[in-house]
Amino acid sequence: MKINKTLIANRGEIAVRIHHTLKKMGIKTAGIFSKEDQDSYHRFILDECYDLGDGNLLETYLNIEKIIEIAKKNHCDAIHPGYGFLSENYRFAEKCEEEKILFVGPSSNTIKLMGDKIRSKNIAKKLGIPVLENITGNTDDIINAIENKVLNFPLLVKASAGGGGKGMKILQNSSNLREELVASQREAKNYFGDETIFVEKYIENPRHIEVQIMADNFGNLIHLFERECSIQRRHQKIIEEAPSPTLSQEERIKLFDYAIRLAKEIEYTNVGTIEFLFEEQTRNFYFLEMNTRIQVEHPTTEMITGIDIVKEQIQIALNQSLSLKQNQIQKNGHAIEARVYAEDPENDFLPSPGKILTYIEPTIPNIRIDSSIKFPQKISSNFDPLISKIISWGKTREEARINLIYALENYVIHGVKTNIDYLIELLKTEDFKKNHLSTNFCKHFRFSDNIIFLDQALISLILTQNQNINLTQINHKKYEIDVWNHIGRWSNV
Amino acid sequence: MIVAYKKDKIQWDFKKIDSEHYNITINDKQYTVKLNRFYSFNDSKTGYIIFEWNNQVYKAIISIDDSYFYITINGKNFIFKKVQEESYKTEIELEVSEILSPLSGTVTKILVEPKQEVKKNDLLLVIESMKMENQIRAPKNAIIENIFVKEGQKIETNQILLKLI
Repeated sequence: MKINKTLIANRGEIAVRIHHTLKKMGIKTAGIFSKEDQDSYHRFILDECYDLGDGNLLETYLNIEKIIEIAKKNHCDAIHPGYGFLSENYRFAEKCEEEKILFVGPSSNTIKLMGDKIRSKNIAKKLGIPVLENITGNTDDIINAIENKVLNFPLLVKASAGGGGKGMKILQNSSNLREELVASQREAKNYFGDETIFVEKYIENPRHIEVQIMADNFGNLIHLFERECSIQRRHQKIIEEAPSPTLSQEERIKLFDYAIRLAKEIEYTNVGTIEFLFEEQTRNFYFLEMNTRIQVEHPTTEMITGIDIVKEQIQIALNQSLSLKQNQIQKNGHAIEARVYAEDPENDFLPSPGKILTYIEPTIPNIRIDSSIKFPQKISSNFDPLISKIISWGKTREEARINLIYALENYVIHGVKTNIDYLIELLKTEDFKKNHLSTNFCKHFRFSDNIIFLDQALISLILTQNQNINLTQINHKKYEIDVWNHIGRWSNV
Repeated sequence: MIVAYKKDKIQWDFKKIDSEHYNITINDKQYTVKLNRFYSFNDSKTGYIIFEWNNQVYKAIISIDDSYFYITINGKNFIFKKVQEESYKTEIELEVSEILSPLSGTVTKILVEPKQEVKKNDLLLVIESMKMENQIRAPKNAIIENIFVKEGQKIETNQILLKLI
């Protein structure tokens, strides 16, 4: 079996990253772009790139028919779905299987199975893997579950049809249980028009810890250690690290055992990640879900193992057996990844699309940057505003942390607002340094208004004005002010 | 010249002392700085500058577009908005009666119509961007004079959305 050309059904940094591995393997790359992305770096660098037209996501990057047609028309033997988009859409994998295009990932059946959150939890439960218990129902169902020890305190009560923290409360014990539940149902009905409530085991300061696994089509299954992704804002990961600085070796072994047994049970193939919540007080793990694709934060694992996960994906898809056995996988040092977004942390992280003017990456040892841009270009408001991922490696976690801070301080992105200053401040906190973290960290972390060097920044601006920089003409708009007509012409002093 | 940092306007003044030294006043604070080196590239829209003040060396990379100065100096980032001195008052007036979009995206809901009375914080319209909804609320009690956009319309940052009286 051979792959001549692979279609990368994605965009931005992951399309670029996958392209690099494919090229090094001697495989041609084809890609897709929508009108928004016509000047993008991924369109530039892929060998071929096909126009999806001007439409919304469903008409472009999520358009299964169009993408399969592009693959067929251009003789692509394989499709790599990347992450997000169609990567966990079992129908897309199915279509590939029907059209005899190699889908780089597990089978459509596996994707469908693990995409069903309830079924996947049941499989875990069957194997004795702890699961975050939950029940959706009425007061009687819930009280029943509590009495039968299916649900245990403390519990989080949520409105099933709700969101945004409304109608959520924590129950520490069974006092006034029935009244509390009925009150929650009433609130749910008032806020959301639906009195169904959802009750789940509450974990106070959970950590998010996940295991990278990899399996070939011959039953060989290994793990590539774990990652911790506890720094999240509104359920979006911001900082991830490998390995987890929280676990003891015994706990790791237990975790890997859970992950491997689960993957074996479903006869998993290709690359995937099994996610858990970790409760520090009890040192318990709870299975959350399995992602049947490559993860955004996979570079952290690559940095500590030296393994190219995309390369392994392609080789598995080519029906080769895993190149390494478990006892040959070594980890070395510590890696931390930060996600750089075009957003305004001082304005509730409002996305900050616009045109990037200047882009200078910090090229220093042990820093890797997977970026969606290399030259000045537009950041669109229609996609996730991820500019790049910056990953730092160190012999120790502290070394990796210092290295990442230094790299971020030398990363210049002008033209849009970014979260770079926010990331730097976060990484500098005592809590981060000491690993006093949980998924609630970002809720409490206050980004302070940065006025150190404000005057010096102005001085630099003032000095350049005097150096006869010719500024571009300002477009006259009704509500913008033409400064330069007022001030007059520049001249050398 | 005035620039604005977030909501604060900053006034500055400078005087060249000799080929290397400058006296710079920022909002009444005085600085004497020594210019070490300067280099501009990219059609003068970007450059770097190295200067010394108080025995410390500062290195800054600066980019300029139509409305802003972007500065990365010794690892910290700043964005200054260009403001014209005389029109500052006008801008404040404008800020209060013209509602400009703070971001680019698509107008998904318009909840008011011309001649409608609104109270401070009333929801006027909703803009969707990057899969998130952004609510635009009335900055003061007012009457809607005019609405310049339609539901479904794609808009840019600073595009005028509504005018209030």
